[in-house]
Amino acid sequence: MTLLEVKNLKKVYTTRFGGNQVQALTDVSFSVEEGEYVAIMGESGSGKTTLLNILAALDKPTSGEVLLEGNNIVLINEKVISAFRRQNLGFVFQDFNLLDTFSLQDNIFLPLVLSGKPYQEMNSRLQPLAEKLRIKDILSKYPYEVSGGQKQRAAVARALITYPKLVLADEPTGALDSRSSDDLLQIFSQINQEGQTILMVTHSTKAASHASRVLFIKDGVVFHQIYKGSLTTEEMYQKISDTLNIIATGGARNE
Amino acid sequence: MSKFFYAKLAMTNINKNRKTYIPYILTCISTIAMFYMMHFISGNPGLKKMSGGDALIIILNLGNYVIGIFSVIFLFYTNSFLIKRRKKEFGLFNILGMEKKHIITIIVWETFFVTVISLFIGLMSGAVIGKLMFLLLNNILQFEVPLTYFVSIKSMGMTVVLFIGIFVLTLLNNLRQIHLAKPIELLRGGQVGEREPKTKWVLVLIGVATLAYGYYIALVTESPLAAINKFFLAVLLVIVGTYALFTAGTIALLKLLRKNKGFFYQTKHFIGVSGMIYRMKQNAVGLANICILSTMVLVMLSTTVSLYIGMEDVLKTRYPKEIDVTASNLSKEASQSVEKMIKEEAEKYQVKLKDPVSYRSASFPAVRKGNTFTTNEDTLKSFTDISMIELIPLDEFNQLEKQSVTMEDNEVLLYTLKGKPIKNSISIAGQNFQIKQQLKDLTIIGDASAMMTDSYFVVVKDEDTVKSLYPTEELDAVEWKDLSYFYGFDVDGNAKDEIALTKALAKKLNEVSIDGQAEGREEAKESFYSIYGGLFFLGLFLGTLFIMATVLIMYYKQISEGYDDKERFAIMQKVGLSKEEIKKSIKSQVLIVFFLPLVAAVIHIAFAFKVITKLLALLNLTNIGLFAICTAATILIFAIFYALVYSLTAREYYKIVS
Repeated sequence: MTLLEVKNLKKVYTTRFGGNQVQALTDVSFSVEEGEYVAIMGESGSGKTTLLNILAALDKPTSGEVLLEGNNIVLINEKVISAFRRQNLGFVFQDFNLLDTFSLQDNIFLPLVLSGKPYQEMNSRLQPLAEKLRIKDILSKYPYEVSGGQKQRAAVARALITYPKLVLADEPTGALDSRSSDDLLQIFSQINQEGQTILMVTHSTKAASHASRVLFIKDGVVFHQIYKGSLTTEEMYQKISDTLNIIATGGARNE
Repeated sequence: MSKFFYAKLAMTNINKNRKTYIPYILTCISTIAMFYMMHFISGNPGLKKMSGGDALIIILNLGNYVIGIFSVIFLFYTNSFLIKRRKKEFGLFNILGMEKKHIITIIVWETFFVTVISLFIGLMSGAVIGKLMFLLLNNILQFEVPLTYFVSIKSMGMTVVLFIGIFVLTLLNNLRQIHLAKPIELLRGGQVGEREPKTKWVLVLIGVATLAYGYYIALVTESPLAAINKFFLAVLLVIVGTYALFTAGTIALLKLLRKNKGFFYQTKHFIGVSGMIYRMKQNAVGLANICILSTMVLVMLSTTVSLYIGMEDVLKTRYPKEIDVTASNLSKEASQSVEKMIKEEAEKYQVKLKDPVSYRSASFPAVRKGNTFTTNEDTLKSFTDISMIELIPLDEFNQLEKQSVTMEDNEVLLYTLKGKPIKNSISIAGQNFQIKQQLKDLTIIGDASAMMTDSYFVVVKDEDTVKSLYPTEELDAVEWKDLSYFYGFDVDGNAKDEIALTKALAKKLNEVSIDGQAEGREEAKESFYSIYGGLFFLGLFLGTLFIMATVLIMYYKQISEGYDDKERFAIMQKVGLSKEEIKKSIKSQVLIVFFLPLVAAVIHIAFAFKVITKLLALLNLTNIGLFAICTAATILIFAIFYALVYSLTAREYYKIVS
């Protein structure tokens, strides 16, 4: 079943005084099936972040549609969009975005508290999650007291605790050392196997090689995509790497 | 490189940091203007020629010192905000290849510009507004003041010297900070280590104890004399308590709230409580400052305003009759000759005597224990339980009240002017008396009403009884031989004649070498107006200064908080908090932070109210109703002003956050 469908997305930024126009997304279309693990790759300035912001309903496209289970999120009323985001989407960011004023546990609870869930329910949701993400012992600590990897695992817990339909991850390994990165990618694979749909934006080949499908964006369009199929992660790594080389040397494009 | 490169860069910097620099320059300008005005007015040669001018000079000089010291503290404080905000900028300069000495050159230039601009505008506006202040002071003093307005070079010089000194000090402080810091530390600037504050229970206990004891003192102090001694202690205790509770108490309370899971994990409280913990850590001292400042403003304004408005009352309390003559050690015969003399003088000045009253009595201090009054010298050294006893012989009483009371040797009539009532019997200096009658009223109470202590009027059988009760040891330097004499009257006539008569009487008493004095309401008016008017003026002046300080501290708090909060609210939005919810949450937090000091200040004043009325009684203001109204009005005006500032800075804050 198709969970997310993106149709002819276009985004044009206009500079403040109406001068230059910058086309961030030209025409992007793709779809994500339920339970899929999709990575979107592209160089800086290719429009990755713009795409993710639109998918997260943080930004509006100039034209095009984003359908989540058939509902066009572009048309969702401003008033309910926060609640929509809270209930349907989970976010993992490159710089964790944990609040220094809350302990890890309270950071994880934040979206549930905003939805008005009682403490008992929050706690019963947290326990298995904390176990799985190995953060049980540090729940009462504050973000500045723990390592980057631990912070990111807490952020993952915050994304998952709402049981979202889709987890959006923006360069989740960007600020982590290689061991923590491996760790996190392991976790992503694991939760994906348990049925969680994940959409990850990255330019780390290694991160992308864990995904079941990789989309390549260049100059605002989906340029290419490859499926993992039955390939091992190492083989996938090689394949992505080759594709990136082709894109970088500009083989198929007329410059 | 151009010689003026750094100067230009400094100018650009000031311009770019308008949001923080302009309030700072405004502060400099206004403190400079205020110091100049105060210095100029207090040094005006005309003051010496005024009656009561000496007291006024002392009051205004005091104002000089207060403003001077305050300027130093305050400019340092605002400057520290400024430099904290700008550390990042300097760090960037450093990384881009500027050496510390170049950065120092820029900072020196910036300080130079700020100094020149604020001194110039400050002195100019000081000279202009000074004229207005002058008119205001003249108006407040309500009599012909021989003050002349001019632009005082001396005061300007003094102001320039003081403020250049302050600017140099702040500059050195800034340079020290820049010099010590590593570039990376500069880059990080304000936001280093936002650790969660610890709960300091000891400090909370100290805060609660000091505040409670301070309040307790303020509430139980009955005698005005004790109030002077204890008021200072109470103020110190309350200040300590305020700081302790603002810093430790609020955090302890918030953490307790957080522990309560049912309360904490609700959308409304969740963000608010944890946000407040973080805010209070950074702002507690600043808020305590604001609280203390506000309390000072409110107390100062309400007391000086009510003293000034209540001046006529004060004069009436202090001088029950328009003119009175008092003399000590006067026999009955001598008193009659004084009375004759007064009447002759009044005729000479064509002043008609109205409702004259006269009586002889003897008064002395005594220590009260239950119904017993002792006059032992040792016990008199404690201020607390002292009462004044005024003994009046029966014949004087009957003459005064136009009555014909008779009584036995061991009987007295008692009139309680101030103090706890005494029932049935009274013992004075070892003799016991039955109280025959409690007097409800007494025609004249002489100058006893000007006393701050408890006072009892005791009518005894005759002069001999008075003499036997009067303490044998010398209480004053003057040896006691006979009763004191009081003669008071109102007059028909204008103020000028009244003053002339008062002066003539005083002269006459001196001529016939009688140990006594003549005082008059009109004669005292000028010096009362110059003292109370001076206090009022000072109250207004300092009140304005402190309000300005409060406003500025709040403004800087809001601005720097805004920058810190910006990031946090961006995160919350990403996690699923709507703009509306964010706005609501900001509003309630800012509201609490803003109005907490004001609420605390009002509570302080409510507790201090009683002890302040006692202090005002020392200054002859006994009209508590008036003081209550003045206090309420001051609080109201201050609160309106406060709310106004809130709405202005809150707008600035939202602009930064969103």
